[in-house]
Amino acid sequence: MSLFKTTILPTDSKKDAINMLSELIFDEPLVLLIVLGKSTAADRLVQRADKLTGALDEPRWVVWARRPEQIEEVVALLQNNSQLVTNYQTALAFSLSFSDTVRDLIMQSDPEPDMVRILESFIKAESDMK
Amino acid sequence: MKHLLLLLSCLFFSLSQACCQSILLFTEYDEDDHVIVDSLRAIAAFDVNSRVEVNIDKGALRKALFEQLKIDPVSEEILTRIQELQNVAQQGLQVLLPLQDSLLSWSRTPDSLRDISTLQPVFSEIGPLSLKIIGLAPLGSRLRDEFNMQLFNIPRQDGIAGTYNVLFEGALREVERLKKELDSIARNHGVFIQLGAWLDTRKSTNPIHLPGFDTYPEGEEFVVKRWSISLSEEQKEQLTSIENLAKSFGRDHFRKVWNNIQVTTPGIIGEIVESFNKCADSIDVRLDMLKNQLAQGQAIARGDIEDLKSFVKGYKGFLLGLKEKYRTGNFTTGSVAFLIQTNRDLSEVKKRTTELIVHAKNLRTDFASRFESDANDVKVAVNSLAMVIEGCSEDLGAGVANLVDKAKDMFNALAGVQKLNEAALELGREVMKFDIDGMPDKTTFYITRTGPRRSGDKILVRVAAGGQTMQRQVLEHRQFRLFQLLPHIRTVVGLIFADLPESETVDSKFQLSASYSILLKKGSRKSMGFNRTFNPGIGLNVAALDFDHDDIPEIGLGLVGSVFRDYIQGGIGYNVYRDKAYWFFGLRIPLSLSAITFNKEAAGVAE
Repeated sequence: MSLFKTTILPTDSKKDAINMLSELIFDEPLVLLIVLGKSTAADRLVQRADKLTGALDEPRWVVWARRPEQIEEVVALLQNNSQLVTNYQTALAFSLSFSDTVRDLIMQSDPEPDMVRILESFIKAESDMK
Repeated sequence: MKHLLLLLSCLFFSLSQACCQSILLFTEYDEDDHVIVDSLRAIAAFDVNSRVEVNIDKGALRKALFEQLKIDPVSEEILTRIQELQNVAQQGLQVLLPLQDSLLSWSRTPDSLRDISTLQPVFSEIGPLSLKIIGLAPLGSRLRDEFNMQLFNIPRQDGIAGTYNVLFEGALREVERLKKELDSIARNHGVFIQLGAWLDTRKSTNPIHLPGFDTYPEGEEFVVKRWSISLSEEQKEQLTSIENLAKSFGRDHFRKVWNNIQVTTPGIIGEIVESFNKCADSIDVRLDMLKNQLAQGQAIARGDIEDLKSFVKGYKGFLLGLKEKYRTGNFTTGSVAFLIQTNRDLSEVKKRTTELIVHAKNLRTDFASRFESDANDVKVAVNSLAMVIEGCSEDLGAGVANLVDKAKDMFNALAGVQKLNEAALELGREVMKFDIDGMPDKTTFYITRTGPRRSGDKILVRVAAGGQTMQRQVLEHRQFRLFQLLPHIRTVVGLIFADLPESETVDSKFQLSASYSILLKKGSRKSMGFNRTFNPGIGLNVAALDFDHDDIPEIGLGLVGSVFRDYIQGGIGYNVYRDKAYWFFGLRIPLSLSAITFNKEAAGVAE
């Protein structure tokens, strides 16, 4: 598996994971798709999402938090996060706009996200639509 | 992505057509190499010598075809889907270029200087459009599968804009597939489409050959001259007739001509009156017969008959009065008053005749039910009356309709309106039938190859469709007036009233002279009123004067301005022979009237 624009958060250091994620969210002008867990579905989602991130200098990026519990406190800082926080345990991925606002939520119970569904998630974040 | 710019420009072109739902898009190429595209259906006139390209918007054609012919319920769903996908995709593709530019600019900017405020507005614009398309591609659909495949294989260098483009281009491909499905439905129903064009002149309506669409032969090459200052043979004859007219002005000649008109008109009106009178007589006789068959006790029925008889009597009296009035020919009024009176009388004939028909039909219906079970003789009389009323109502009805048509024709002729002969606009056997797919996208015809024509004539273009079980319907009809729109010179023959210098020893202030004017003119593509009514010109007037009435013509040259299609002219002239300046006003005399002339009162000249 070769990922070009995906950051895999470390699983052995919560602090490092939080730092890396915080930097991507709060310091970098990026639109993020954050994939949660290490299920097969998450794995496939990351691989598919990476294909949609475009050129290296473009603002789409994928973050893979294989241990979602490590980043809960960062998630708590996001805007429009109520649904995500409530369903955090069963969420598969969510997208974040430039303004660090949660714009889309993909649940584990949803049909396995195809390329179109992943693109939809990026588009919602990019357009920053409520 | 490579051809994005080209695609966008094409799409803009398509959009401009789609906005008006016009099937036919016309582009005119005139003699001065102007190209006029009728993208907003704003053109109402072509130059008489132009070349015209007709483009067919198959999207609009398909829409009109399925909406009007109501071929299949499924087709409506497909049409809706086509419309939705096409609209969104076209809008999206228009935003794609700005998105590409913004992303390029973003990637070239150092990290620390990147500003999302330049990128966010474009994303906010393109996002909703993309989400709409995704909404139109539900899980398991053909479109969704195609999107997934395209996105999975998208080259990274296509960038973020490429992922959006997959949606828009994919949507347009789906539109094409759906169109093919529609075409297939149409084919299965035997639907055909035809395109026809006609030249409608004052004399006739003839088909125009549209290459690729019919097998009509090419028409006669006829170029309307732009810069000719020479008089046509007709105009020369007209000039002679006007000269005679001018010379004989003041004599009894015009009174005689006018008297002839007054003598002819009563004859025409007399014929109309006579035919109507015969019918009234027949009805009157049958009413008497019926009345005689009725028993004395049938007071109400007899009363009804008397009512109608009284109406018939009044009607006949009116007709006879009219006949007498025109028979004596004793008109002391002027021409205008005479024409107005004639028109009033004909209107009254129409009104009273219509009333008689209604009255008689009511009585017939009433009596038919009232005497259904009555004595045989009464029934026979009722039936006889009914037959006469039926026959008369047809004759009188036709007569009334004829009167109306005659009045309309007269009015139209005066107003310069041509009556469109609908029957002549049938698409003949020579016009080929196509299915949508096989139909050519465009054709070009040369107006110069449509035969003799002149300003005010019309070009008509129709696209029609029908099917095995569907009657042919006109989907779109366009009409264009032909005018000399480009700068041109027009030579018109007319009569001028030259203001005689005071030194001339003559008994009239004005002298009538035959003349012609060479006028520089230009038409308008936007205003038909300008072309049909105002239509000004400026130029040179050449008149055959005779200030001293010695029957030796003196040439007058003048600067002339004209308005109202040159019917009114005026200017300043110079009598070369007598070295005298004069001013004048003039009237253009239409060719058709030059042989008839007009009376002095209408011309506004004192005897």
